[in-house]
Amino acid sequence: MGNGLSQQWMDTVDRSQTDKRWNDLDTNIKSVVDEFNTRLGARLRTSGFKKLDFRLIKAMVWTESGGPDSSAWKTRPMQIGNPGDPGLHELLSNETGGILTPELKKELQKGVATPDSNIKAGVAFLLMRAATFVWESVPDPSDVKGSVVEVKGGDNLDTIAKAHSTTIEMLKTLNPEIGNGKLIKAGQRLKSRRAQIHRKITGWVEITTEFAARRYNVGDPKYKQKLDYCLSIMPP
Amino acid sequence: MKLFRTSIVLPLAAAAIAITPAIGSDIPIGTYEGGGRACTGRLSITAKTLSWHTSFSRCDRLPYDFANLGDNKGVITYLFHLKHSQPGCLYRSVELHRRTASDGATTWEAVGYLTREDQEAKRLDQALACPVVH
Repeated sequence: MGNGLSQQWMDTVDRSQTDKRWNDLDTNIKSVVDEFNTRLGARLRTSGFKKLDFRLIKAMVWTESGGPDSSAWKTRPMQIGNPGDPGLHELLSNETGGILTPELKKELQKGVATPDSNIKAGVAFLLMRAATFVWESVPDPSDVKGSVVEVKGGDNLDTIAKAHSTTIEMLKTLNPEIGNGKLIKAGQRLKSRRAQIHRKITGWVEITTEFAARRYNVGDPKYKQKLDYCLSIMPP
Repeated sequence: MKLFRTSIVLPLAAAAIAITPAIGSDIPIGTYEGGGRACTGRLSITAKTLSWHTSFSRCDRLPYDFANLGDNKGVITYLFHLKHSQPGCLYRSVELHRRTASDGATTWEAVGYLTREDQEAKRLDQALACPVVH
């Protein structure tokens, strides 16, 4: 076929044409993809979020697990969260800009060795890799009034921000007179409001087979060809 | 399948195998390639050592104890208990599964367990399971 894939690998995947069990995870995959598409599509439309393709995720499940006879199909069909894999830690220990809800994060923290949880973790990881982030100072909605802080000797913006649960950016926004590197003085009174630094999604890289091969896969030089082959034999 | 028999099959040897059918028989010598996020690399089995390189673990030329656990519903399981640990090698027991479908097609799977206890209990949630091609 000229794609460099081993005949045995293609013969295995070709079994999907006659063995309906290769579609047994369709419901799980569709449910996960739909959930992310609906939630992120609504929340992050302005960041240019493009809907995930169910067939691409299914191709990844086929490629990663090797099909319904494999143990991975029943435990980790997207092969994330295996021993030594830093991917799951990266997903769960970083702010994801809303890709993971607190509930989903809690669910995945319990383990990802079931098809449903593994597909959720795999898709979330793929999305995290596809997102571009910036760090942004976000005001605490419970602190609408704010407060006034008196600068003491030895203070700087960093110590003031830490002492008052805010950010340097917030202090500069509320007090334009201290921007542009101007010094603060003891006795000066500054407006303050509680704020935190959060990661915000500003854009997305399109998730294609080439992208999955580069950013999800770890080292398999034939990964893109495998995904493309799966897609070529998968019903539309 | 490339099989390596550790003894010439003689009546006497056959009798010995009948007593201890699993140990040292039919070691599936060869190389098995895996791919994807966790499984990219190669399992290499020689008569004396096993090497298994995957995306997040590297086991090099480790001696093993071997057992053929036999055929269960068309799946033959070969078991390798690695004799010692190695920095960077996450697994202490490796199973190689050979599945023969009703149409005669053969597929392979390598499963690495963190401990012997995990292997004995078949704790797949604590294991790496990789489809491999031979």
